[in-house]
Amino acid sequence: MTLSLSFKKRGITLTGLSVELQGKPILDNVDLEILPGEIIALLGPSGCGKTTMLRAIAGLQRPTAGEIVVGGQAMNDVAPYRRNVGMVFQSYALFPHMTVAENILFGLKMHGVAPAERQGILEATLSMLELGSLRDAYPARLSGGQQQRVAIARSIATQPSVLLLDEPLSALDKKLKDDMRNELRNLLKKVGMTAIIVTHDQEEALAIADRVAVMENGRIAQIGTGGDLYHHPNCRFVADFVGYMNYFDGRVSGRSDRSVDLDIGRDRSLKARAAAIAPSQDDVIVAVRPEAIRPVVNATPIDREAFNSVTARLIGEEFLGIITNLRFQDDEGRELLVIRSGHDNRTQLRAGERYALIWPIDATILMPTDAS
Amino acid sequence: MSRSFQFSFLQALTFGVLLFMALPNLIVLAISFNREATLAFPPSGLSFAWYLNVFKTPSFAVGLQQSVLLATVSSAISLALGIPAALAIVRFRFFGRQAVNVFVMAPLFVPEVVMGIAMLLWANAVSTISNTTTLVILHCLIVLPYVVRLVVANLQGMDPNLENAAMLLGARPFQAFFRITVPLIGKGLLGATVFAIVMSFHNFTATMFLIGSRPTLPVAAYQYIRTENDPTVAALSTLMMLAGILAVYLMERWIGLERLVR
Amino acid sequence: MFARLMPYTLVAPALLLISTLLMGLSSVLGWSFQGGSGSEAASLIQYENLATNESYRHFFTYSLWLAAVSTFVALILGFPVAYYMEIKASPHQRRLIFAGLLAMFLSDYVLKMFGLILILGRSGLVNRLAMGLGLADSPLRLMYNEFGVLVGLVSGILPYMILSLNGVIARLDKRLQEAAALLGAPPWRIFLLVTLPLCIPGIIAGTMLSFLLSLNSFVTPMLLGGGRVDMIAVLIFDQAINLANLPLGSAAAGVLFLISGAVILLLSLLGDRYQKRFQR
Repeated sequence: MTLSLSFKKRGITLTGLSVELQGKPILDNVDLEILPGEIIALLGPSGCGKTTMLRAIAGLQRPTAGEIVVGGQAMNDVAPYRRNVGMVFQSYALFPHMTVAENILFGLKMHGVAPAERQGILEATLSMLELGSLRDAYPARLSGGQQQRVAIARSIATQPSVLLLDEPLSALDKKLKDDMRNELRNLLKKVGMTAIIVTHDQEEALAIADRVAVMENGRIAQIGTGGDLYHHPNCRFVADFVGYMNYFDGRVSGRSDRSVDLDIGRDRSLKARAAAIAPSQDDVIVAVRPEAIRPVVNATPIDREAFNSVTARLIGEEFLGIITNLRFQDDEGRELLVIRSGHDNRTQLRAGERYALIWPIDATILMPTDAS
Repeated sequence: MSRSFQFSFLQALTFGVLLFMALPNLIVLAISFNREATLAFPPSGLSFAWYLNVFKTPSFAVGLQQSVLLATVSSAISLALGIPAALAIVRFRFFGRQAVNVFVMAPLFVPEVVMGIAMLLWANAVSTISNTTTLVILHCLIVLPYVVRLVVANLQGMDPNLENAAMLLGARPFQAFFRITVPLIGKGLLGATVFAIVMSFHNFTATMFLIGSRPTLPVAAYQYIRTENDPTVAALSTLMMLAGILAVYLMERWIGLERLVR
Repeated sequence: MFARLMPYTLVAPALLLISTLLMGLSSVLGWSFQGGSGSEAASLIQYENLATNESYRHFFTYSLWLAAVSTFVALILGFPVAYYMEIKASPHQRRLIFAGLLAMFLSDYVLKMFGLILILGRSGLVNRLAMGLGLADSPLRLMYNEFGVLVGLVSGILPYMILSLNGVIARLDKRLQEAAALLGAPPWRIFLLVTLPLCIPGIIAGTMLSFLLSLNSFVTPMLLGGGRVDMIAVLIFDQAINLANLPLGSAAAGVLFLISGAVILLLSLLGDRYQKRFQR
């Protein structure tokens, strides 16, 4: 298939971007550097400012401070209709009085593209998104997945420098959503355009984006690849938003070149890799992912240099098919969640019994306490 | 058993009240075909003479002309003023927005007699203004709040991101308005137009204060009722009822009746 | 800069139009402070006149009385209709009633009063029936009096009342009644304890609208009262137009405006307070 669509890859730089609405800060001094051709996900709960950031980049929301630069060009004073930024709205915002083809042609007409050329681009877009058979249908007649494809087709037909997607999958049901994640990523990579996708669904963010920015209260809490966020979250908010986590309040009691010793109360201690902590901090949060933990019979010999271990009583078990959630309580009353594969019945566990919960020292995560 | 009694009692009451409301119109309809020149019921025989007489009565002809002029001009002006105002109220957040909203609705809170005397005194003060012009302004004032309210309701029912999407696809604000907004609220605008025309056409009390030598149709009918005693007005009423039913039908098609009153 | 001025540009023409009304209203105020016989100084003599002269005062008290009675009757008659069409009627019936109401709502007020004359007049429908059935020997006097005006007022405001009531009844959550029934309440208790209290905002709105329409009514007292029933609008029209006494007419209009404003304020406050009790 030959595409008559070509995209100039452009980077985006946000510097000190702030938006206030009715005196309330919605975006608070955000800096963000997006590389040309990169897919970034803005992940966060509702009200964290992610949609506002998208609207500011599109020019639908005027920033109170800061700069938006797209492809080296300052955008702050450029009207939305001159920005050449594509956007897929959460509601898709398809023009209900226009057919699929008319929706796609709208932007081309507005940009003054010659009729002959318009037709070529229309055909290319329709075939790229497999919409050929729906060209004369009105949006109300389409399924959610089809509407989403039309919305994408409409926004890329004008060959924008950047594509913004606001919760593009939220209107679809679970099964379709899982299929569309891959399709969306493949499509974005195929056309190679810079894209920002807003979502509150961590799986969606991790599956589609090259890098994910986790947002909280108008700020970017952490930005990185899925692996970075998952294995090295820099705060509890990020750790909780991307997966589940077990926590201990800890204090550094000793350091060596390779590892640090951590006191977690009642003379119990854990170890972590020295690289996991900045040297000056003493009070830390010690964290471990539930799926890194393995419950073993209490008397099992353990390599103390490679594994941490905590004794705890099994207090609950939830079989969820693919996985099983195991709830433990240690001697201090802390609840610990352990997730095992649904097929893992090597160890028969009995409720009320005490087990040793072990995990590799490499999987021990250290974070600054919430106060800092 | 007591349930079915309650049910039928409520039903009887409902239809009684509805009959009470409809009866004047039904009587008028019956009397308009009366053969004799009296308003007595039941009619003594069938005749279409009074319908002919409607068109032969000079004051009705003048009234119809004047009412049509007022209704068309004032609703056109009200739409021209009301649509932009509604757009500002719905699509923009600006200082004084609430005040503007209240201000535009203000004529609804002024009693009609007060509005009548106010515009009479205003016209006296301006002095160079013609009677009909003052009436046009008065009718605009009466109709504008309804137009704004209907257009606001229609705009609020529309996804604002449709306009945003159009702009991100390169449409200027006015292009987005004419290519996206207008087609989508078009029926609502038509409905608002019919409503405005009806409101203007039927206005009586405030209009009475500003009537010069040319009465509007309701004023002409009023004067006829006060002086004459034959079924011509009944025939006129029937014709106006037919027009009213047409208006209701159009509004049902374009805006939906329930949306109009709620 | 342009974007910030945009909304003001859009509303400016409408505000310009409304300002003519404000100028008119201030003229009314100005005229109402004029003395009687050509004196230039502002005076309260017109208001004093309205307050002390028994026959002028009667226009106000009697209008308020007629408005109250007609509103009450319209509420009693209108509620069953609004309730029936929303709760009991089939969708088809509902649509029909709704269209009928709207036709009524939009039909010409003068011509509706004309229809009532045909019913209530000396040789009207009611008298024909009463005499034909031997219930009366001579024609009953049904109009050019209080009764006629009341019938006219009720007939005029009923559509507004029903549509206001219908608005709240339509928004009622029907599951509340079902829940009450499951908790063991008989139908009349459900109505009194659940349905009616939730309708109060609509009752207040309908009452306000109807009361104001009756209070300001002009056509009804002129046609069904024969100009002999004292209502404020008639006084204002007579003074301002027929007697060319603009100062007194303006003062009466000023008082009517004040009364209307007070009614609006009072009933909206009442409605707000009622709803605030159980709203967040």
